[in-house]
Amino acid sequence: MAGAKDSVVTIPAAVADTLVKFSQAVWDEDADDTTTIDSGTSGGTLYAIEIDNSANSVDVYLKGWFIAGVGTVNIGTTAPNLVLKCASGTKTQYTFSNGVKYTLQFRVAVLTTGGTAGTTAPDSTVYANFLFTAD
Amino acid sequence: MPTYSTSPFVTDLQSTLVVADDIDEDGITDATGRAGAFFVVHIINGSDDAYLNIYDNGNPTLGTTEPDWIFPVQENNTYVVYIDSGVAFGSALSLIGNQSAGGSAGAAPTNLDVRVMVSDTVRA
Repeated sequence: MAGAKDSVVTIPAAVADTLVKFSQAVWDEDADDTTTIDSGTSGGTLYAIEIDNSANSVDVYLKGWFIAGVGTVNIGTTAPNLVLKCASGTKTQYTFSNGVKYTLQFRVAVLTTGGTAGTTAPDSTVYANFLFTAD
Repeated sequence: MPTYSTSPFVTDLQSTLVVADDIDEDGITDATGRAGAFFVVHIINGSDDAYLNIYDNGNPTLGTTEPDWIFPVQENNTYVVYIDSGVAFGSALSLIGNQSAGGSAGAAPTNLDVRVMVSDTVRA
């Protein structure tokens, strides 16, 4: 499933209470370019995230915000709840045994700086697979 | 009172277990004394919502140094992070706990224990 900048990927209600896996190109260029996994607004649980940074020669950081509404994340300023590093030219999978609970919605972007700071996206697309359930 | 310990290195091939009980906002800096990769992170939170910040940095400062990894954990929750091939850190491994997102300066967790399994390199 491909996405676009500032896109919202809506998980149909019929599958919202099951494990859902999808691929999404994730990136950021400007302050509010994020991808929202819209599984409703009552949160959910993340069980695994695979990050494919094969196409870049720089390390990247997948950042997640547990916040609702497109445009509510100001990248570089809004503190992310989750940060996962993926080294240059590699693919890394993070699996969470009991899952990571998130509230509201899960919004993601990929940047070249960890923590909160940084607004620079990698040059090439980074792909990510997510495995989660909606509450 | 935080309690930190790291298993001794015997050879470069030996895995290392970093133990951080009741980790606080000062955390454990340069836990391994060298570069390496970590494969498993066990996070046990016995109190309020908290964050584990992990740095590829031997002397990070919470609120100033950007963490390379941030793992959130809800109150009274526990999970294990498995990283298939491991993720490398190039300088040193440091761990800091807090109750604020984004690696921001914030209060220490009140009951956050962490175990990190480290090896010498990524096993691709």
